[in-house]
Formats: sequence, structure tokens, C-alpha cells
Amino acid sequence: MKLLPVFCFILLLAFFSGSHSLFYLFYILVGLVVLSRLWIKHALPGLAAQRHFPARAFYGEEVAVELEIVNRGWLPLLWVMLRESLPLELHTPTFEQRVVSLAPRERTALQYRLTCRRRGYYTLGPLVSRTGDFLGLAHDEVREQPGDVFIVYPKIIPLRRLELPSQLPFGTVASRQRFFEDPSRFLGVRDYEPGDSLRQIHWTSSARAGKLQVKRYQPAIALHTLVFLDLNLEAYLVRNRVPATELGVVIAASVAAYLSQQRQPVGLALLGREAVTDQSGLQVIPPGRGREHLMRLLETLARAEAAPTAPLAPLLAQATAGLGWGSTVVVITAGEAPELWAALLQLRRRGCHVLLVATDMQPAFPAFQARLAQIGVPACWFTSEKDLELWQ
Amino acid sequence: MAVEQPPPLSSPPVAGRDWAALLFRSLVISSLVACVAAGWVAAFQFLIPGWRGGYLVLLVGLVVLETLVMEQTVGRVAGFERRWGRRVTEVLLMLMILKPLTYLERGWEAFWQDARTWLLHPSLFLYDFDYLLGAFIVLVMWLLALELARALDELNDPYNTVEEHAAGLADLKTYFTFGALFLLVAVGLTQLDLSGKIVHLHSANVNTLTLMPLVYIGLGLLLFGQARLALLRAGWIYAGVPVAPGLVRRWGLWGLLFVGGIALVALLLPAGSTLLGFYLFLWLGFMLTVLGTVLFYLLALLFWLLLWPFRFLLNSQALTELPPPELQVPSAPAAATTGGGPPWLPYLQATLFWVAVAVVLFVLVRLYLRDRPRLGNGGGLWSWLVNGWRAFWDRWRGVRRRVGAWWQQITARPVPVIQAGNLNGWERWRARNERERVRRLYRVLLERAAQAGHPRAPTATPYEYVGDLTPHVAGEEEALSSLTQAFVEARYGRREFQPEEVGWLRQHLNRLRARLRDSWQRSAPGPGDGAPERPEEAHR
Repeated sequence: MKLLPVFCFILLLAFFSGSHSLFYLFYILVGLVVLSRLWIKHALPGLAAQRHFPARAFYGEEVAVELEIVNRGWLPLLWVMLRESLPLELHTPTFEQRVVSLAPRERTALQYRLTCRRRGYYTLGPLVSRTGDFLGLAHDEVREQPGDVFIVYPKIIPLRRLELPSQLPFGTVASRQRFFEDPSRFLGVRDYEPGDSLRQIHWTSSARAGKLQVKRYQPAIALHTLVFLDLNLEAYLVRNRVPATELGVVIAASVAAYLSQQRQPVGLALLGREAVTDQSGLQVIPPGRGREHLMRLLETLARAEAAPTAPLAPLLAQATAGLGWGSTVVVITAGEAPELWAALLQLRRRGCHVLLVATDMQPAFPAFQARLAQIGVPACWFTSEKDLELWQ
Repeated sequence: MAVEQPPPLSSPPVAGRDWAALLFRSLVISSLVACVAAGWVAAFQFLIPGWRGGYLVLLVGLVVLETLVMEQTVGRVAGFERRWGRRVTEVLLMLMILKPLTYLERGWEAFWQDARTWLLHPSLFLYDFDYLLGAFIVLVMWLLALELARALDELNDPYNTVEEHAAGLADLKTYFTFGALFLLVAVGLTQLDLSGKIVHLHSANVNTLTLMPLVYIGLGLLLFGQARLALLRAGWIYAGVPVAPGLVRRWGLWGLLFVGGIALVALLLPAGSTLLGFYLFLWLGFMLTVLGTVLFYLLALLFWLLLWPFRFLLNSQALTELPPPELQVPSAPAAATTGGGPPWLPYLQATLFWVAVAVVLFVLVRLYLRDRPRLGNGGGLWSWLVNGWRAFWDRWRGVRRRVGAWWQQITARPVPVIQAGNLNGWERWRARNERERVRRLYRVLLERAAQAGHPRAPTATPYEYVGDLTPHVAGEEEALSSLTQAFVEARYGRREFQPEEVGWLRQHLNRLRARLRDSWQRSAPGPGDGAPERPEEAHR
């Protein structure tokens, strides 16, 4: 209100001169200032925004986002500058801008596309709406709180020849070897095939189906697999932190997807930071089956961030405490770590199969690999996604 | 749910030509200029009896509109010669159109009759007062419109710098102000009463001409709205922000509705019913007059009393007949006249007026306080008053400081450089500080040493002089060294001395002076043996 002295002067001038024109001028100027403010104050809260987009996307996808803007108020908005903040990993530049004009109850839409170049947990927005009157006497800004969440799942590389220890006794799941099947864990029936024992025939079901059915049992050796992903920043070489940890996430996602595709229960133990809660530490998702469970794992991996945490070795036992004898643990880490060898040995003694995948380029890893081989722990050294061709 | 599809993002920002918007802008400028022209025409009609120039308002409006629209549609012509060529063509065309229009009053027969003479005497085409005056008005208004449009274009250019935009806005304000001044002067001229010997003003009547400034202000608001749009658009285009189509058109339409609506509401509000206020104003003037009269009476009475003794001394007839002053109190202002209509009508009008003014002032004060939350914090009326008083006092001090600075700037005179050697004793005493005192002590030492026959060579440094003087101040070498060191620090360094340090150095000086005096007395031969006289005596 820097114009207040001017208004007072005009009013006094009008008052003492009795000039109608000056009074009208006073009213017009005051009306402009006051109504401009009231206009902006009451018009901007009527602005509503809503994004239409799939909340989740896979790596490499292009997602179209439509930001719908509605003026729900009864006052027009002469101009509104919309500025949508966007993550750099999804959109370049990091914002989308548009100037629109909205009549009462009018809708408009701002469309843009996101390129999922990196997995992660992102927030679209906030949308900042800035408006003003037509003389520049009043302006206001509204910031949307909070923005919408958008998750990009990690990159999944299709695997075909993943030789996990848990699968070694059985080959694939479709194997007919029954050495480790537990007759107390009845699973169901299937069609009889030549070679099946007559003792396995389920006569009741065969009578109902009109053809021979044999019993199926759950294997006595657990097929549970736990993928342990180590995203402790301090374990990685400084220059490799980003590519090595990201490669670890890709490997974990690919292994989980492969096992889920094979209908094997798979779990995830994550040592790192959760992007949503911003808490660092160990997070364990018990093994499970199904697409829903896989999406849960992928979402967790999408939200995972590398961060300084406690060392891997002491937490390994804690993460695998619920696993049964014969379960498989896939440890994805930087490479050699203090006490890791002893922790893996402990796992082996508990009857777990262990596969270690190293993603950092540590020169001493081959020696560690040889030591692991002595205790029956196979170790892979992948430094790029191309190395995963070994499993493809 | 119908959602308006915005243009593709890859499309360039909407900087294309929106004809309605361009026409609106041109219309606003031409209307503004026509407004000013109307004022001038009215003024000239008032000053020159018989002259009629109403057609000029229309002509100015149309010519300016054509020029601006043409410039927007055809685009700016590149090159100095071509640009001026177009301008000259426009001016010539304008003047050619103006000529027959000046015959609207005189009739077409007069036109055809004069037209025949122009062929024989072309100079007669120009030697026509109506034509010259009309051409003057049209040309001035046309140039004003061009400058307004140019200033607006400056704002519209996204690649102009901030300074250029600011300059464009300043130009726009200047031309608008000039236009307003032209208009106000013209309207003011029409209010002059030239019938008597003394020129005085008519009372203002509400007519079309007196409302012209209001129309001008309204159009000016629309113009500044366009300037605001130009500035915003320039910023958006420069930043690569896509602008939705139709915004420019809406800006003009909604701005027009907004300003028009406010003007309509303002015109419906009571104005000028300042019955009570004007009456109070009259009473205020009456009281000031009474006060002045009383003061003048007291002064006259004082003089009269002072002259009283001279009546007997001078025996002057003029003095004896001098009457005592009389107090003539002016009459109180008459009650406000109610005019026609029922007697309660003026009071109703005044009440409505004051209610309207009070509401407006209340809203203004509320906005003012809202902008300054500090004033309203703390709760309670007392806190509000205290904070308000503090804010007012701060503002007052700021104003006073600015006025003082301005006054000093006006009345500042070049300060003469006072050199130490030009100081008199008093000024020297006022100027000294601790460092100056230290330097002064050293100078006293030099004077005393010179008087004792050990002057310092002009080329000798203080430390070199210490070596020269030491043999003559035996036992006080440390005092000499300390005083010299202090002088060097005071003269060439930035060390600040404490008063006790100065006292301590003064004691050193006293001891050195005593030693020098002893030295001089020892070396001085007895009287009459041809020894040189004391240095100060030699100086004399």
C-alpha cells in the first residue's frame, strides 16, 4: 500500500475542492487496488490441479502425464503461470511451464512425457501457480503440497541360465526327481506319467477324473531364496559407487523376477536407505510367491538408495534367520568385506546355499573368490550389465 | 470431462498476431490521444471564438488508429529512409485529408471556390489559420500516439534488457503524464473567465469535458494493463514458456470489464456532497483569520502605545489625532445552503458520502495494516497503538533524515582544506588527539635541541637524528629512543596512544629538555669571551 499517501492526497484535494471528478478518480483508483487484491486473493484458491498418469512404470518406458487444471471459483484468472517441478532423471529440463488463462469453471490441461531413465521413487511436482492482476498491483502464488508419487521399477534383465544352488538338486522346478519330497506335505495331484510309482497314485482323484492321478508333495528341501542386496556406500569404491550399486539393484531385480517367474518363493533383504521413510538400515521382506509379491519387491528396490550403513557381515545372520535348511541366499555386494567370509561360512554350516555376486571393481576380489570356493560358495563378478549375459 | 487440449509443447510460444488484441491496443492508444485532442479542441474553441474543431477529434482518432494498425499489420519497415518515407507519406496524406475537413463549417462551395485559387496560388493552400491550427493539433497528437506505441513495443520485445524495458515503461509513463497535463491544461483553460480584468476560474461543472480526464485515466489504466501484459509476455517468451492462445484477447476484454466495472461503480458512489467538510473548511479559515486579526490588533496596539509619549514630546498633530486601533472581527461563515429540493436531501447526500468515504478509508487502512503485520502483532489495542506510534515515528525520522540530507545537499559548500600549518592555536588545540600530542612532543624536542645547538639536518631520519643527539643527552638515551619511536609510530603508523602514554612521553621530554639545557650551559662560554649567543636570541 505505497499508494496510500497518494490516495489520501487525492481525497483531501477532492474534499477541499469539492470536485466530483477527483472523487471519482479517488474511487476508481482505490477500487482498482482493493478489488485487484480481493480478486487475486479469492480467485487463486479456486484453482485445482490433478495429474492423470500411471503411478508406476518400468525402466525405459515413456509415460504421458496430463496435468488437469480447473478453475473451480467464480472469478476468472487472467493469467496463471504454472510451473511443474520434475525430477531430472525423468524429464529435461527439470520443470514444465505454461501460462494459461482460465475463465470461471474452465478446465485446461498441461501435457508432458516422462522418460524413465532411472529407477527410483520420485515426486511429480509441486505445482507452483502464480498469478496476478492485469495492472501488476497484486500477485500471489500457491504451491501444491505435496506432489504425486511416481515409481520407476528397476531395470529387469531376462535371465535364462541362472544356476542357483537351490535349483541344483532338482534342476528346474519341473524336474521329476523326488528324492527330497516330503510325503507329509501334500501339494496336489497331477496326471500320471510313465515311470511314476504306483504308490503315488491318488485313487480317489483318479476315479473322479477318469484317468490316473499321482500325488505331489512339497519338497523337503526349501526352495526359498533370499536376495540380499548390500547398498552400504562405504563398502564400495568411491569412483564406482553409483554404477556398482545400480548394477546391484538391477541384478537383484532380475534374479527376483526370474525366480518369481519360476514360481519359486523369493525374498529380499536390503541394506541401504529407504527413500520414502529416509531410514537407513536393514529391511527384510520374507520370501513369497506371485506377481503381487514381485511388484512389492520391485517397488522396494525402486525406493532403495545407497547410504552409509552398518557392515554387511553381522547383519547377514539376522536377515537369514527365518530361512530353512536348504534355502538359497544370493548376496549382492561390492566384493570382499571384513568378516564376510566367516559369515558366509556360517550360512553354509546352517545348510543354506549361498551365491555371492560382486559388482564393484575390487582388484583383490579374485583371491577372495578363490577362498569362497574353498567353502563351497560360488562367486560371480559382474561389473556391468553386459556381464549378465552369463546368465542369459 | 472435456479437457481443452493445449497446443503441443514443441510449438513456438504464441507470439503470433492476435488481430483482436492488436486492434484493442491500437484502439486504446487512439482513444487516449483523441481524448487529449478533445481537450485541446475545446480549449481552442474557448480561446478563439468562432473556431470549431470537433472534427479534429475524430480525425485524430482515425488517423492514429490507421497508423498503428498499419504498423502492426505490415510490420516495421527496415531502414531509415523507408521508415521516414512512410512517415512522410502518412503526414502528407493526413494533411491532404485535413484540408477539405476544415471546410465543414464553411461549406463545400467555399471549398471549390478556394480550390480554384490554389491552382494559381499554391501558397494559399497553407495560409489558412483553421488549417494550420488543425494540422498542428493533428500532428502533435499523431506524434504522441507514435511515441506511446513505440514505448509499448519496447516492452514487447523479449530480447530487450531489463534496463531497456524499464526505459520503455518510463517513456510510457512520461508520455501518459504529458498527455494528462495537456488535457488538464486544456480543461483548465475552458474554466477561465476572461470577461473581466482579472482572470479567474469558473466553478467546475460536471459536463463531458470535465469528465474527460476520468475517461483518459480509464484508458490509461487499460494502456498500462497492456504494458503489463507486454512485460509479462516478453519475460515468458524469453524464458521459453508457452503461452496459451487467447490470453492476449482475454487480457484486453477482462481488463476492459474490470476497469469499466470499477468506473461504473465509482460513478454510482456519492461524490462532492461535502457539505459538512466544506463547512468545516470554511470555519477553519475563519478561525485562522480571527487569530491573524487579533495578532495584528495586538501589534497595532503595541505600536500605538509606544507612540503615545511622542504625542507630548513632538506635539505633532498627526500623532495626537492617531486613533487607537480597533479590533475588526470577521463575520462567521454562513451556513451551508441547501439548494433546491427537500431540506433533508443535502444531509442524506452528505451522510451517504461520508459513509462511502469512511468505508473506503477503513478498507484502505485495513490493507495498510495487513501489509504491515508488525503493527497488528502483540494483541490488544494498546499494543496496536504503541506499534503504530513506533512505525509512525520511524517513518517520520526517515522522512526527516531524507529531508535533512536533501537540504544539506542543497546548501553544501565546498569545505576548504585546512592544512595543519594554517591552523591557529585554538584550532590546533581542537584538532589534536593523542597521536597529535605525541608528534607535538617530538617537535618540541626538535625545537629545544635546535635551540641547544643540535638542529636536525633536513635529510636526517628520526633514527639518524637519535644517533646525532645521543651524545648530548647522556643518561637519557632511553627517553630519546622512546620518544623517537613513539613519534615514528604516530607519524607513519596507525597506532593509537593512550593518555597515560602521552604523559609518560611528556616526562621523557622534560628530562630531555633538562639534559639539553645542561648540555647547552656546559658548552656555553662565559659572557664577553666571543661565544655565540643563544640560538633563540640569534633568531631574533
